[in-house]
Amino acid sequence: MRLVIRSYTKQFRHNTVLDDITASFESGTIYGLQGKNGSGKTMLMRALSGLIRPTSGTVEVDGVPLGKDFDMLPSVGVLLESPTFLDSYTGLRNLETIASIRQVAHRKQLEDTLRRVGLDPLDKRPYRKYSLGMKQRLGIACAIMESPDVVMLDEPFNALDASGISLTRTIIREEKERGALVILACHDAQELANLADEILVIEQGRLVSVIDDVRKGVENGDGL
Amino acid sequence: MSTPTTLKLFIRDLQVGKYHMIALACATCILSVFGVLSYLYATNLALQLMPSGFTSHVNHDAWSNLWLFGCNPASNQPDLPFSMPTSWIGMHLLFVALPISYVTTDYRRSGIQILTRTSRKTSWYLAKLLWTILAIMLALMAALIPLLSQPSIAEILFEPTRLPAYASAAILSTSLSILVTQGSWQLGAIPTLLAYTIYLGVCAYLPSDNPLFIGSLTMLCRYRAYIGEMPIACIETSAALALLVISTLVCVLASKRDVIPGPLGECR
Amino acid sequence: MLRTEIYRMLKSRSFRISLLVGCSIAIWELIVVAIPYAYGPEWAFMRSGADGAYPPSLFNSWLGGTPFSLPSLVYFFVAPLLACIPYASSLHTDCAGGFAIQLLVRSDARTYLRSKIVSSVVGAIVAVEIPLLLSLLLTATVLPALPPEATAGTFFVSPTAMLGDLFYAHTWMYLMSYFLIEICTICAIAWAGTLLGLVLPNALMTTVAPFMICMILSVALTPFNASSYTPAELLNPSPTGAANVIVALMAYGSILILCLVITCIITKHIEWLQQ
Repeated sequence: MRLVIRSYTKQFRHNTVLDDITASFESGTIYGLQGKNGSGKTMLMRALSGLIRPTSGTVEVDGVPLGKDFDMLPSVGVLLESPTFLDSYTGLRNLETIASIRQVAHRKQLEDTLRRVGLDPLDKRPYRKYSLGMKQRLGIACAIMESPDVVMLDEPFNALDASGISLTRTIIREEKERGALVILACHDAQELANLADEILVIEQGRLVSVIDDVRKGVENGDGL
Repeated sequence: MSTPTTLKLFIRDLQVGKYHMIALACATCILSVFGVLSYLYATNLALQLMPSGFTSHVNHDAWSNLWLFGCNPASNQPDLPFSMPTSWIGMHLLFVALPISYVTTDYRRSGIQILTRTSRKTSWYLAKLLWTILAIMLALMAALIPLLSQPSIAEILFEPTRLPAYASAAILSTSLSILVTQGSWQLGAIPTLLAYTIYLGVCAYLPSDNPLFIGSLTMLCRYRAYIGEMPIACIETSAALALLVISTLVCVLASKRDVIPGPLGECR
Repeated sequence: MLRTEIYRMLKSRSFRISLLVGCSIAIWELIVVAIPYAYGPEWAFMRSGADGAYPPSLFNSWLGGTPFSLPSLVYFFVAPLLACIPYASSLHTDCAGGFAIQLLVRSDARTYLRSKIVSSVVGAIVAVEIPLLLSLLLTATVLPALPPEATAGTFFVSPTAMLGDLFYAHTWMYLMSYFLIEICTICAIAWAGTLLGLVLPNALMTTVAPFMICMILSVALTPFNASSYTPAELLNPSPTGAANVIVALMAYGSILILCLVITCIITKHIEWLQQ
């Protein structure tokens, strides 16, 4: 699958949040979005997934523009900002509720996904009793549970302990090996350098550079 | 660094909650204006239909949309039909719904930040209580303005033989609203509002010789039967003060609990 | 997604509260009105038809047949609130909390909004109509369904009221027609309430706002002799005022069309559904 964003500009009232962004993304690759707070990383993810409509420009999936035959990416899992679920439901029930929309993942798959992120599928506690780290893990589980073609993770390492961070790195690599297109936003440059095949640097809504030889740079000990 | 006292928190509430206060005052004023316009329409219509004067029935209809007039209790007399006093109930619900909305919003936005900086939770609760009292009193003053524009209404409100009816009804309304607001913090906003609406409907329907239905004491409808022969203003004022004391006690007791009940019970 | 939303609505605590309160009022009516009518000694002469009095019937003893009884007054007064409590604030909660994003990326704005509005309307209809049907059924267990008699003086539907002549000619047809009018009114209230959630600051105001609007309408329409078009009157199968069914359907139909237009506009501005 090939995802292309062409001359994408988004304005909210008089504020330009994304400015003439052009980039392409291929399956089986991990792309990192690097930039300061408020630079536009999350907005770019929203644009790619179809959650916002462009002021100008297009997003194309295998040559078909979003908004023509479909409004959203056909198969995407997202973790954007803080994950939010239904307070009175358990983690598994929350995933079941969301998975029932596409009916792609069955219960066993959801249970396996929860175990994969380090949560107990038999936990009867409602979501509102979860710690911040548990909420983050559930958010990651929700993004990967249906084995989507595109996985977008915005600051997935927030609130995670060392084992959680290690688990999340493993999950990201496994998703890449599965053939998914992984887009990862993180303020930790070292983390991005370790994981990403290509890094897009964003500043004030503009794509300022693309580092596509991250692995070579890391091997050479280049600072990022 | 000094910890915020109740007064400081109250001043903060005045600044942060000013838009809610303004919204409450405007909403009550608009409801009051509608009532006065309705009163004028009914009296003008009566003048056109009966130039010699009003019948009591028409006069009653003219008054019925004024919010503090209320309604007759249900009776079997065909010339005194019962209809739900929408203005009266609407005003009382506004006194409760908007303060609950402000407390909910403030708690969600910065409740944790403020609570962790106060030495006692009681200060936070008392500040909210004071804010609610002030907001309702301001709203009642805003609702009074359209009423004062009509001399006949002003005469009823400020009869020299009794305490100003408006003042005593206002105190009782405020106290009842405070108690219900406190209840919503403990039991949840929606069930409390629903129960309060039903309670107000029952108060309107029944004659007010049952002290449980204290809400009906805020109605000025002259057909209502009042308790004993005590001057109504004394009953209202005493009831109001009692309710105020009870709601303050509830507030203080609630603040002693280990679990912080959010306005919508979200901390349970 | 529709099935998911309806299942979520049916399992929610607020739906159960609303249904419980409505059914409690229906049972309250049965206890204080229908059973005394059926078994009280003061009505024995009416039951026997003595003095030419028309015996009490199902149609003037159930919740929708006694406009001046306390349970009936309370029920139709709080009906807009009972309609909005189940699910009207869920769109606001989803959007404000960010849960809507997870649903939007798995479908699209149109499907999401459609499911949300349909489930909100279904919840409202069930919460308001089930107690009425319950009251009708329970009252039918204690009183016979004697056809209404206009000259009896104990039936509160005036022949000049909306569809009043139908009430005396074909009572069951009247009730079915009235249920349809009620469904139209409830649909308008629930749909408008759901959409209001996108502009109001919290879930409480979203739930209460349609009810407050209905009360304001009640006050505002009284001077123009149009209080019979308020929701409380339209939801009551024994209205106290005269109303034209075409005018009522046009008024509430207009509200539904306006809601439809606003919904279509929202589907074009998907950002409005996000934090």
